[in-house]
Amino acid sequence: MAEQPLLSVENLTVQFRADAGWVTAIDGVDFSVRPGECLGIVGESGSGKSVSALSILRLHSPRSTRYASGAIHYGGRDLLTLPQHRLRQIRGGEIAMIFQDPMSSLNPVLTIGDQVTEPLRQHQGLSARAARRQAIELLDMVRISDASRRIDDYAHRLSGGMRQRVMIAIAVACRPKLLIADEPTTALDVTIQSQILALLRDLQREIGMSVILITHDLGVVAEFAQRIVVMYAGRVVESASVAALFERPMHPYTEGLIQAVPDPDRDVRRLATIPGNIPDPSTQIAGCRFNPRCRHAIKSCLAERPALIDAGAGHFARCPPRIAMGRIA
Amino acid sequence: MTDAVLTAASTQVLAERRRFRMLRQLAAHRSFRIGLVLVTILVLCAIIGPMLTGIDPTAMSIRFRFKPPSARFPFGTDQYGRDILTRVLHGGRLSLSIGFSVALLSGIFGALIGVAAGYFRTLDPYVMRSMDALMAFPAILLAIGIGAALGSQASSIVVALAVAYVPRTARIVRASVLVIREMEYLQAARVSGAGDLHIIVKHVLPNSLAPLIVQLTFVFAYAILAEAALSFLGIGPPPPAPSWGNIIAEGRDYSVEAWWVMLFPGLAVSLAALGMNLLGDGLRDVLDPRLKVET
Repeated sequence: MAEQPLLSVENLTVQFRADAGWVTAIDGVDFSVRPGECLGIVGESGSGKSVSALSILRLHSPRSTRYASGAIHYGGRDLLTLPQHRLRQIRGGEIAMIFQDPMSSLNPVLTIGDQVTEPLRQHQGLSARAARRQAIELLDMVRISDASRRIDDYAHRLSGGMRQRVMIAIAVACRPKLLIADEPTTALDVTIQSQILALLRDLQREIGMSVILITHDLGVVAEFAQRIVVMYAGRVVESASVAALFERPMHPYTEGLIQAVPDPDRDVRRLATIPGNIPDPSTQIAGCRFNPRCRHAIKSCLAERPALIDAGAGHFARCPPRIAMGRIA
Repeated sequence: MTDAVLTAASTQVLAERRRFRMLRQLAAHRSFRIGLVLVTILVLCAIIGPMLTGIDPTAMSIRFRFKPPSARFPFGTDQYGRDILTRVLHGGRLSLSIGFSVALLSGIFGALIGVAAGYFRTLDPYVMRSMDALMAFPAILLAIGIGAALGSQASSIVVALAVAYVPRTARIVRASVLVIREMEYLQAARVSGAGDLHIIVKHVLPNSLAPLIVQLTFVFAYAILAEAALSFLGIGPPPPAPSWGNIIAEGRDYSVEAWWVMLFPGLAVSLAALGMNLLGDGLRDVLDPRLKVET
């Protein structure tokens, strides 16, 4: 358990330029991934999960983004201060990423082969012929049938699931240490979704890479991840192992999310919901950012900004009243 | 081992076969075919024609002034008794090469400026506002100004027209770059460690090439027309060397008595412009893989 994390994000605050100054998109985010582990980051739209993920590889537009505080430790370096050329070696070589929309993630005027061989030639300096051979192997590995033929196709001839497989092939081409999957299955239908997840799991085992899986689907993380970080309005509100989180959610927000998952075994007329919407990042909310939507809010929730507290056994939550209650119980 | 080599070889063949498919599609495209035939005929005429007739396009003859089209002078003769057919063929060399050079120059500079403005957003306002300033002048007026300043010779016409058409080309390139730069495949390329130059060359340029090429066929057509217009206004390539434009310009005073002097170079200009436009339409339909039909 005391293993060194592969990557750790510490107290990361990211701000974007808006009309009226800088808006804080994520605020003091901490999480870490251990080698070979799969970390799930969940939260609703706008909670800052994608912003955190894109920050790891510094993919935000530098003109309109400010890393106001924090550090991202990876291999003894801070990715936030790494010079551009070193960062480019890490991107795709050691840390790879796949995106939500496989329909627009492939360049329409290049063949699949051109795009799969690109990282191989870039990072490993393979010859065109060797890269092609390896690309065919990669396409085989992501279970694209008839890979040696498909490699010369253009993206528009592939279905969404196939394109996501190609994206995965590109991502794992250089056998990265960490794969960041930003909602990899959101745009796909359910049967394809489970195939893609199964593929990711097999690849993770085979390559021994860590995975950060970003999703708003609790079912997906439950199946796939070992640990979960729950984000709300730009902050981490809870982080725990999958089992602990589902059995004993500490934060009312997490609880709400879990209750909102439909359970096929129970006959429920109405699904539980969390009232209200996620706040706009530019609005200031004193105290806990969840308090306007929280049924259990007490006076202290409105005044002081809660800290992320260790509730024991690696279970952290940003809800002091609940944790106090839990300790008493 | 041999298996791997074999599959590699057979996929190579497949890849080549797929390259040919684009050519086949072009060959099946009707307006592309018509355009290609027109342009090819005109280009061949300009290249080979002068050698075949073997007549000096500037040779004058008082005896044969204003002869209407006949077996001896298929296109007739002008006020100095020069053979119009020969002059049109020779003029084609000059007019077509002016058109080609203008298209090439505005293509290169339009692409450079358009990509710079579209990809590096900090440059955009400065670059595009200066393009807008250039575009505020009508193309012909701008070309007249530059042509007058540089002196009337073929090369200054090329420069003048290129300057006039670069802003339009740059705009089109910039517009497609703006769309492309938001595509996830650019983000994906950046994630796999690609630098700006690599991204521009491999992802941005190829994707903006289709509209650019189509635009250039139109620039080619406009340039031929504009050359004619500029010559007509007296700042084209100077006589006696013929260009389509200056043959028309010289014939305009006699258009009532000797209609053939203006008609044939005029027809050549129209056919060239039509041919390039049809060619451009066909290329647009085929070059864009997103419009491609499954075969």
